Amino acid sequence: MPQIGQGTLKGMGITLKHLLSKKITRQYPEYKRQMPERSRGMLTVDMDRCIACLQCMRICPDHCISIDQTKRDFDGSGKPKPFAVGFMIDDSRCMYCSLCVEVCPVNCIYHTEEFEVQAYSRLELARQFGERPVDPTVDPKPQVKKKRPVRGGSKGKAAAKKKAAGKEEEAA
Amino acid sequence: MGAFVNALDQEPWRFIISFLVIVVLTLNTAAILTLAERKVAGYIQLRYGPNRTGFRGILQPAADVIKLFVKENVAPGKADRWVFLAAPIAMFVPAAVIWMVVPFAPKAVVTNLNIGLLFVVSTTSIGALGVIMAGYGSHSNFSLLGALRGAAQMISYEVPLILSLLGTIILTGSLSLSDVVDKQAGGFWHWYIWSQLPMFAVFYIASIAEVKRVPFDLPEGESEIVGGYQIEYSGMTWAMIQASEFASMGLMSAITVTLFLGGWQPPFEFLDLGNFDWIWFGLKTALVMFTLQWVRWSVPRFRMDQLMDLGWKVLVPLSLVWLLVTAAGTLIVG
Repeated sequence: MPQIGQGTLKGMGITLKHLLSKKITRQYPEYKRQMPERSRGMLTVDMDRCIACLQCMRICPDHCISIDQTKRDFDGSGKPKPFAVGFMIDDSRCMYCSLCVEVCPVNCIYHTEEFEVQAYSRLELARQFGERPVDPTVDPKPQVKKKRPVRGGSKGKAAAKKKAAGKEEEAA
Repeated sequence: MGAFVNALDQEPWRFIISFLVIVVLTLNTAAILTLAERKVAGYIQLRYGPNRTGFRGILQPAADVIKLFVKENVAPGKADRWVFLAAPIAMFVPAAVIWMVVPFAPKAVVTNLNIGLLFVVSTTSIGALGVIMAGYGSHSNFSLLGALRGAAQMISYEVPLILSLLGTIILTGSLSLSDVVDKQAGGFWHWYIWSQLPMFAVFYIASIAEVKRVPFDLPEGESEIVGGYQIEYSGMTWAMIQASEFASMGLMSAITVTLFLGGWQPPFEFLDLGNFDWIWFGLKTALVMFTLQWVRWSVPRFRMDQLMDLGWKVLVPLSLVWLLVTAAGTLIVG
């Protein structure tokens, strides 16, 4: 029985040493550590800067961002510009991949240092920004643009030729 | 003070008071030991353990009890309902009843049975019945497997447990626990732990296995093995199972102290506290309980075959050999 004997006594000595040594517990809710730079907490959006380009909504793998976009004529030039009336970030879906932050052209969506994400229901985690709330129960999957049908002409022919060549190569 | 104590020593009062003490003890050892266990675990694992309710978590047992009372008590649909609900009681009652014969102090023992030791070993083995009832009544394969593991373990460790008591019985010539303590009077060198050291080791290991604690916690095995006989329990029935484990842990350390560490006898004659000798008993029991917890957080769990090997190939022969030595020694010394 290798467990009984010296090995056990050695282990007991180690645990006794731990019992008497200094504890390294952090008293978390009272004492909060300074979050490191570029740490990823909950997402937030600065609505004043948002240009409603919908890039964050498109790139989000979890479809956790949904934007209610309209066009408004701000400066009276007769050319309406896109404007986000409602902006919703569903933190219950977000996986903190930071893709939306990287893709935003005006840096208006960013991570805060807030990491205590908790609520009693999932809908409480869908945080609303902007003037009009967005329905968080609807899957905010962005509309995928339909691929344009391949037109005839040189371009299409070239593609077909290329394809055929590839096939031949494979066959050979 | 002396007259008052003598008045309390008369029959109805003595019984009532010691009975109340035992009820409070059984119910509270479980609660206090839960906190103590978590604190010891925390300190050994370099953290503080529960320290948010009350001063350094002193109200944690109360919070636990309230939570467990409020929790719903669910029984599986196909369970054998009566057996399922009776099992925690069958586990808890033996652990509570044995306190009856434990001598806390010269006068503080509910019933000084002539067959105290026999009572102890026979009543502890009822615990195996409770385990089997829990496993069978749950109507779940995991529970049944856990219960069979538990029964196999408890029954095989019953043998070295009883064998290790025989040396003490030979030396005392009595089965009464109070007699055992009386024989160990006069300084710590008279305690049976010195003449019965191998028996003490056997009894200590067998008692850990008997209360199903690490490294012998195969019946439960919370994390590595998929559950034990207690999977299907929740709320207060689960609490009863845990309480019976902790109460029998306290009980086993009390019996260890009584048999091998001199019970309420002080380590030196001049430290005799008179009517407060139970303080010595409490201190020694607390020390043994602490070592039980210390072992729990140091030693890894046994495999089933290692467990059986240790029981039958090491502990039983060792206790038999030392029984022979003790018997021969009493014959020679007289």
